[in-house]
Amino acid sequence: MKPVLKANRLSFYYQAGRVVFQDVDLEVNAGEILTILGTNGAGKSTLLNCVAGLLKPVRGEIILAGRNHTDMTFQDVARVIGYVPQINSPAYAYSVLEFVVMGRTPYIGAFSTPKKRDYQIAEQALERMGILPLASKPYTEISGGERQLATIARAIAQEAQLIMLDEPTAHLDFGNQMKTVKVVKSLAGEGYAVVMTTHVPDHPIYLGSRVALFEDGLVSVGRVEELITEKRLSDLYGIPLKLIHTEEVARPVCVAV
Amino acid sequence: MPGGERDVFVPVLTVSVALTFVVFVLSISIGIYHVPFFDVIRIIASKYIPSLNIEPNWPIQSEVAVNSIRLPRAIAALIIGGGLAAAGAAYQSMFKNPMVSPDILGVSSGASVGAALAIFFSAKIIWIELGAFIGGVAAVMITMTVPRIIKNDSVIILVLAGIIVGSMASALMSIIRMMADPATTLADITYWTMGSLTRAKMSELALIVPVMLACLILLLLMRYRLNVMSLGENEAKMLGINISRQRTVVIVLSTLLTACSVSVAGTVGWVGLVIPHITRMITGPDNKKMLPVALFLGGIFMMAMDMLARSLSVMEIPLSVLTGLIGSPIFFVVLLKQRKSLL
Repeated sequence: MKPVLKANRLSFYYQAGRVVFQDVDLEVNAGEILTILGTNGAGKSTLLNCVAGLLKPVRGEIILAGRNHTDMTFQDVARVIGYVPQINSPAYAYSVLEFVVMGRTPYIGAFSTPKKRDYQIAEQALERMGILPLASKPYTEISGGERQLATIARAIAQEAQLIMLDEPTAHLDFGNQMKTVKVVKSLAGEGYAVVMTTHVPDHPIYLGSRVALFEDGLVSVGRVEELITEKRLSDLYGIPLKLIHTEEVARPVCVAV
Repeated sequence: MPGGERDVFVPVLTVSVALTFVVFVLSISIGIYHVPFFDVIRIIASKYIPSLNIEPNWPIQSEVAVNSIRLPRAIAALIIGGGLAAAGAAYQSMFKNPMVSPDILGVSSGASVGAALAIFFSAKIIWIELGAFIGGVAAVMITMTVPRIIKNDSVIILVLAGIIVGSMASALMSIIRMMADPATTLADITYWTMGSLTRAKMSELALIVPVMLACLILLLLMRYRLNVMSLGENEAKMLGINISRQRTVVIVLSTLLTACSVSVAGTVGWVGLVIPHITRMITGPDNKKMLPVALFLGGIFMMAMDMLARSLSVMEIPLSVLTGLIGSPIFFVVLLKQRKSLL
């Protein structure tokens, strides 16, 4: 099977000359999770934006479900990638259902409106996220955690193969953070390819995902066991960190010394 | 069906359409010379549907007042009110900002400059209309070119470009006023900038109304896309929309609507800002419901304003005076009610 996302020698730098990342090779298959870790401003979001087509990489190529990104329209991309952006500040108080049904846009003509079937798909996605009772609530009046779930529901309604989440746990309380990470794990279990950025090393450990570590323009991609080590993490964040194995949850947890 | 608001939508739209009809007939009926409500309907029906063979038992003055003066004004008010409301709603969605109006891109100011220039050269009415149109299109072209030159596609840059063009236009307007002949053209230009429907004649409407109708229909067809665009540029792109192309289409349609309005009625403020807000309070923000209702409410508002303009005093009151006096306090109340949802 073709990988859902493949990036070859992807490089990005701004005109001033600061290299954001260089020669990144990535591959994410259906059912796999790639977690991107890195310091603030390391270029995690920039990479997501390149994959999404919001920014143009300076060099390298991106292959989405077997097709070269440069040959694809926004509509083509939207049928492969469901993007869950970090900040969600809608200007208008659309109902949650109306918000989620917008995930159907790549399947709706420019002069058309969502039909009954589109609303059914949106309702199923809300059901899947467990927030169907919120369907008629204004999107502006639900909590941050609920908005996160609604936006993931929108990506599901989009019938995307790859769900990309930009720091999905930012701005969420502790409980909602863990709920979101669990949702991410279950999405992969259902066969979605998932790419997410995070600041918490425990997330890739819990998810058992592949990891991309962003360090000063250098990106290492590998398995958790290879990259999530005390030395790598301490170097990355510039503070001494310990990974302590916890019997009760049968995995290491990351703590500051 | 989805959303609780759909239940409200059909009755609201029905009431808006019915009210539009009533106000339309009323605005023809009421004036210095009164024509009874049902006479208005019969006079119009006898002229445009001759096969009905209606007995003409009304005074000839009524027929003149209805057919040659008030009917064109009512039609102009209806389509201009609807057009400005639709243009405002479209801009507000496109800019993800409920506080913008057709003026934001400098369209109204650009159109006024074009019209004023034509009046300055004492041109025929058709040239005034063409001038308004060219001025409006030129303004929006400049506004849209600025972001391209500085290679920044964001909404903020576009709005700033609109401000640049708007203040340039008002400077040009002052120059035209300074140079205009105080005995003749200056009064015309001043009157124009204050807004009026006295110039509305059937022959001119025949040029303008089909264009405006076409724009309105296209915007209505795009009403769902306006929802998606209102999520912001990046989200709209990620939902599969070619944002720069869609934005160009919406801007061209809204600009045509605004320029056509200016060419008939001069500068009429507030409608494009206030009507979408009021409509949103009734139908919710979903453009699928909001846009159709806003069209009719805009028409009703404009016909009512024109009715007041004609009948409050012996001398006709400029439209922008009325829309300003009535529109601004209404907008304040709207802001007060919506203060919770404002960012």
